[in-house]
Amino acid sequence: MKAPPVSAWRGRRAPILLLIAGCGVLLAGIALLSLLCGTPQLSPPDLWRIINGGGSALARVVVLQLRLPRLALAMLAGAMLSLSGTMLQDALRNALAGPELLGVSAGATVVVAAITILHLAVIFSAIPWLALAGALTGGSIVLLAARRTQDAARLVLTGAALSALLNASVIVFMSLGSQNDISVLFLFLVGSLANRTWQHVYLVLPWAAIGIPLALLCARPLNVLSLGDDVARGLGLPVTSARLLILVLGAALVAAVVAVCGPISFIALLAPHLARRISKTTDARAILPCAALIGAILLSGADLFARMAFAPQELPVGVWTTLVGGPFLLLLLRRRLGARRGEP
Amino acid sequence: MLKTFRLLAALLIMALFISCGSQPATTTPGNSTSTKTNNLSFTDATGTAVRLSRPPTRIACLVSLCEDILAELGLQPAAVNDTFGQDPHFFGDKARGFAKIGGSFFDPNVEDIAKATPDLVIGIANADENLRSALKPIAPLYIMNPTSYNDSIRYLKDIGRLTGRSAQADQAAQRFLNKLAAYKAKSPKNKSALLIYGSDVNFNIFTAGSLPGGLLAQTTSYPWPAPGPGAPAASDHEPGAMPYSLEKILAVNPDVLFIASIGASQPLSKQLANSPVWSHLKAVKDGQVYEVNPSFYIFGRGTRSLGLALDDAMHKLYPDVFPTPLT
Repeated sequence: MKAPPVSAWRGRRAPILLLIAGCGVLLAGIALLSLLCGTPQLSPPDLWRIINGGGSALARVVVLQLRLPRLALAMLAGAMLSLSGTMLQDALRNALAGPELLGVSAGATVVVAAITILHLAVIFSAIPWLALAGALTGGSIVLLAARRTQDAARLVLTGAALSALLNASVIVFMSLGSQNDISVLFLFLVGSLANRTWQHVYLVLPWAAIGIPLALLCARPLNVLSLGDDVARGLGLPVTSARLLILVLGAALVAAVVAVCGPISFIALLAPHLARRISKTTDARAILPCAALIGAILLSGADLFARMAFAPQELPVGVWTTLVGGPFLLLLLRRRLGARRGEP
Repeated sequence: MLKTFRLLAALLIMALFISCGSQPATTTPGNSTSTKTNNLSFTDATGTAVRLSRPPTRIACLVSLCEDILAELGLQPAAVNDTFGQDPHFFGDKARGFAKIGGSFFDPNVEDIAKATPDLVIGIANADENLRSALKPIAPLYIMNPTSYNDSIRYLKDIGRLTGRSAQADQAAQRFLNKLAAYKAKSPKNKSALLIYGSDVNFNIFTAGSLPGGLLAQTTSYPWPAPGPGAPAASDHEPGAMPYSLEKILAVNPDVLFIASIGASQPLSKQLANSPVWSHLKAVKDGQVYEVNPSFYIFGRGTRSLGLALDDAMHKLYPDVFPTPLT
C-alpha cells in the first residue's frame, strides 16, 4: 500500500474501461443464470414471459419474489463490501484490512446471537433492523476509540482489539445456546443470501444509493493517503479526519449488508486485490469501480453456486466465499510477496 | 497459470472433503449392541467399549434423551443440565429438585457432574465426547446419537438392560411401537407435512432422514427425501436436518407446516402470512402453520417424546380422525 499508483489513470483508461465492460458482461451472464436456474428450471423465453406478467403463478413468485431480490442483494452486497474493503486497505495502507476491523460485523452478530440464543420475543421483520443498530453501535465504538489515533497501524490494532472483544460476546452467547439454536445462528454467522426478499433489498438500498457514490468520490483522498501520511499532509490533506471519514463510510457500507446477510467473508478482502491485479494499477479512481464490479460478480457467482451445488439443499454463501476466497487470497499475497523479493 | 489452476483445484477439492466430512461419524446402537459381552457392557455411538462394575443407579444426564429414557424406565436422573424433565409428561415439578449441571450444552460443568456422584453419564455425539477424559475418574460416559426411532428404542433397551429394567424398557418400546402402528393404520396419509426449525429466513428443515422427519414420514405424506451420502449437514447433532431451498418448498407446497421457531413476539403463522413469499404456501393460506414444542419434536429424541410428538402432529394433521391421542 505504500507505493504510489503504479501508473496514471490517463495512460490506462482504455484497458480499464475494457475491464469494466468485461466485468459488466460477466455479471450480466451470472445474473441471467441466477434467474433461470433452480426449481422450476426456466428457459430464456419462460423468463421473458414472466417479466411480461405471464408464466405460472409459482414461477412468477419464485423469479420475482425470490431469485430477483436475491440477485439484487448479492450484487449490492458484493459491491458494497468490496468498496468498503478497498477504502480500508488504501486508507490504512494495509493489504489485509477489512470490515471485520471496524466492529460492524461483530456488532450485528452480537444482536442476532442474543435474539437467537436467548429466544428474545422479536418480530422476524425487525431482526435486520436490530442487527443494523448493532452493526452501527459496534462500528461507532471502534471509530470512537480510533478517533484520536493518527497512526494507521495503531488504528488497525485498535479495531482488531475491539472487534475481538465484541466477538468474545458472541462466543459467550454461543456457549449458552442449545444445539439447534446454534445451527440456526450458524447460518447467520457464515453469511447467507438464502430466502432474502425485497424487504431485505429495501433495507440495504438507501445505504447503497448514498454509500456507493460517496465511496467512488473518495478516490482522490485515497490516492493521496496511499502516498503516506507525511506526503498527504504536505499535499494539504487533513489526514486524521479524512481517514476517519473514510472509515465511517466503510462502516456504513458494511453495516446494512451484515445486518441483512450476516458477515460474508473474503469478498471485501479479495475483490480489491483482484481489481489491482487485473487492472495493473493501484489508482483508486480505477480500482474502486473495478472492485465494486468484481465484488458483485464474486458474490452473485458464489451465491448461484451455493444455491445449485447441493440443490435442493442450501449452503450458506459465506461457506463458499471462505473456502474459495481464503486460499485464493493467500495465493495472491504469496505472489505479491514473491514479486517484491524478486522471485519468479 | 496451469500450476495455479491445479493448486486452486486441489485446495477446492480438499475443502469440499473437509466440509463433507462434517457428517456425524458415529455408529448406531445396532452396531454397538452387537459387541456386548454381558449385561454390564456397552459400546457407545463413538465406538468406545465400556464395562461397568455394577448396574448404574445414579445416572447424570447431559442430553434430554437421557431424561426421556429414565422417565420411561421409572428412574430419576442424578443430575441434569436442562429443564426438559420439568414438563409434566416427564418428571413435572419433581424435576425442579434434580441436581443441576451448570455450564452450557456444549460445555457442561464437570465439577457439577462430579458433585452428583454418578455411576454413569449419558451425553450426545458431537458435543460431549470430549468430556471422556475429564470424566474418567468420575464415571463412564455413554455417548448416544439416534438417527431414527429404532435407534431410540435400542438406546432405551440398552439402558434398561444396564439398569436391570429390561421389562420396563420392553414395555415402553412396545407402547411406542403400538402407538405408531395405530397411527399408521388409521392415518389417511393424504396431507403432506413439513417440520422446520428457525425463522423465516434462517431455517433448517427436517428431512425424512432425520429422527422427527422419519417418524412423520411413517404416518403421513412427508415429501422431503433424506440427503444423499456426503451431503453437508445442518448440524452434527441433527443428522438429516439441513438448510433447504425455499423455491423447492414452494414447488412441493406442503399442506401443513410444523415450526419450532426461535422466540417471536407474534405467532409465527401470522408473521408468515404477512411474508411475500411464505404467504403463497398452501399451508399458510389455509392457516395450517403450527408452532410445535421443540422438546417433543426435536430435543427429546426418545420414545416418550416421539410418542407425544406423534399425538400432537396427528391431531393437527387429521383432527377429525384423531380428535384425541391414541394410546
